Amino acid sequence: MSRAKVFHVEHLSFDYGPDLPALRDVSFEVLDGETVCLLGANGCGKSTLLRLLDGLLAPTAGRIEAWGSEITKERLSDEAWNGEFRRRVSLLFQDADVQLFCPTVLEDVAFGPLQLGASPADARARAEELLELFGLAKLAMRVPSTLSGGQKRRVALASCLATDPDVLLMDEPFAALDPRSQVELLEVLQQLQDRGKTILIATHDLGFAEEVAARALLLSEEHTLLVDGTVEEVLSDERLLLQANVIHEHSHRHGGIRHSHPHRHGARHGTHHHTHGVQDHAHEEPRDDGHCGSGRPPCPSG
Amino acid sequence: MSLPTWIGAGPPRTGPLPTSKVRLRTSFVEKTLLGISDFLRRGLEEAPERAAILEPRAALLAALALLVGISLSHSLVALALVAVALAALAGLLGLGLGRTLWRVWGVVPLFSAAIALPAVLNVSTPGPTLVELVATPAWLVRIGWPPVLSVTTSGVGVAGLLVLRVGASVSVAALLAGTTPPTRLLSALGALGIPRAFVLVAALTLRYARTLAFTVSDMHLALLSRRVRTVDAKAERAFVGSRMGVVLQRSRATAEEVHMAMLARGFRGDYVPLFPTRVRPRDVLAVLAAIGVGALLASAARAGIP
Ligand SMILES: Nc1ncnc2c1ncn2[C@@H]1O[C@H](COP(=O)(O)OP(=O)(O)OP(=O)(O)O)[C@@H](O)[C@H]1O
Ligand SMILES: [Mg+2]
Repeated sequence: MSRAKVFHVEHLSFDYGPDLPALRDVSFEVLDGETVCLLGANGCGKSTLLRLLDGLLAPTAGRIEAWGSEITKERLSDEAWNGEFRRRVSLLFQDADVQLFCPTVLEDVAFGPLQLGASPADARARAEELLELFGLAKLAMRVPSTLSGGQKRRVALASCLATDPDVLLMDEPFAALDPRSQVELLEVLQQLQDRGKTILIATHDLGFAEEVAARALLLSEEHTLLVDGTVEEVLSDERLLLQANVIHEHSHRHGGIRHSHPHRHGARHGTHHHTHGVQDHAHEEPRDDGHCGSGRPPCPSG
Repeated sequence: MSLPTWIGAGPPRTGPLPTSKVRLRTSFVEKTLLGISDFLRRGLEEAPERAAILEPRAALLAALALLVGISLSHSLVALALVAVALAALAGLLGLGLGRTLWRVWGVVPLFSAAIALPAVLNVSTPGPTLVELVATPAWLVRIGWPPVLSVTTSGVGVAGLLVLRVGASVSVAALLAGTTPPTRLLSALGALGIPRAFVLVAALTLRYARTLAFTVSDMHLALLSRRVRTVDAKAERAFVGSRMGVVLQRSRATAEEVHMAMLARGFRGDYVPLFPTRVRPRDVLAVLAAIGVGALLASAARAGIP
């Protein structure tokens, strides 16, 4: 049985202004239950694309369909359409500060369920369950803007999950998380995949992309879609990765002969560990909850 | 760790999205707040270098001269002329200020109307009757109100004067903000001998207003992303009320962090310009012209211009 189409994006372009292009003629599809990574260098348009898919920005040219109907201003102001769209799609903002707007952490997580008509008691129970799960229970009554960066991100994620969306648009979900939280997020993503969720993850971190996604879209710095393929295909094409500037040519000196070889940020086998080196160690650490994080194979969904 | 069982319990919803005839309402409060934050954002965005038409100190002095003239003016005609001239100037300079000025004239009367409206009535401004409205209730007549409530010519004059003054002043401010980057204005304040403490307060206020504006529009985006249905007016007011608290709290935190970042990089209250500016003949001319216009405005009514 063929899977339902969630997003259908056709010749999508977006400009923030006359000389401010953010996306150029991008076309792709996302099927139900897929996990797709959106790769690209800083400023290539990943966040913009997620905001477009969430209907927060309107395309300058081209169109986006969600479950077969085009996302238009008209439809977004239709209460039934908008309601169901928001129920199904949830966006994790790149900047968690932007996302949290309630006076307390608990209210923020309960906001979604309340919107969907859950009783206050139910909404509260859900929120508390999620906060507990993410180790945030102690922070329930805190003002979100007083949390640390990583705590904010975890609250934001809990807020997104509270409505049990079918599609998760996640903008740099791993950023600002400490190694332990990164591993936990990987586990959460794995479970979401197992439960049939459709996930789009924007990241410039190839290591995580490899870990979570089956498919990758690579955006160029000229804001076009360079390639749409399996993660293995995309990550093994060093020429394209260099072109997109998601890896860099690292020059070494070997006995006076100068040669350069491409080097992947966050790649497991590099000698040159950036911050992700830390994450790798954490991944190998035996965990006290009985779960062993090491050696888990990348689990492409579907 | 294991996700709660209710996540992904049912099959994914994959059917087409439903439609209805019910519109998602944007409340008046929401629209107004967004309008104001948009206005602030626009005004506070750093104007690009090419738009700096006058030297900041000259721009500030010229604006000051006009503002003094406007606030002293009693002539409706002169004020209206100046307002039109300012709008034309904004258009000529091609600063994309047309929209800003449109907002000024759309918003200012709304805000000043609350103060200006009572002034048109014969209760507050006696004078020749323009339109008769209603008979005054007896108990009000007993405490000295006129028997018939009416709009007076002099009342309209007073209200018009108020609205025109506010509108013209805001236009001057918008023009100044649109042509001179805010930080340049701050350094101009210092250069004109305003004590550093005042400049610092102005800088903090500016930063606060800016983060406030950005916070409001960002949070609105986050709300749009999560809002499923229209809430009733009462719930909406409660929501906006509690959210305003969050907005204020957060923008204060941001503004303070920015200030700390500035201190960390050696900021002591002076804005040292990267591109030092020179006073050119046209700056002198502009200031003299503004002083002239200000003087004309202030004396127009005495010279018999209504
Ligand atoms: N509000 C805005 N106004 C003008 N230009 C913008 C705005 N937001 C983003 N841009 C520009 O649009 C382009 C795409 O930005 P976007 O935020 O989508 O990039 P990104 O791929 O998410 O980058 P990052 O990896 O740094 O998060 C960039 O060149 C950026 O400068
Ligand atoms: Mg981004």
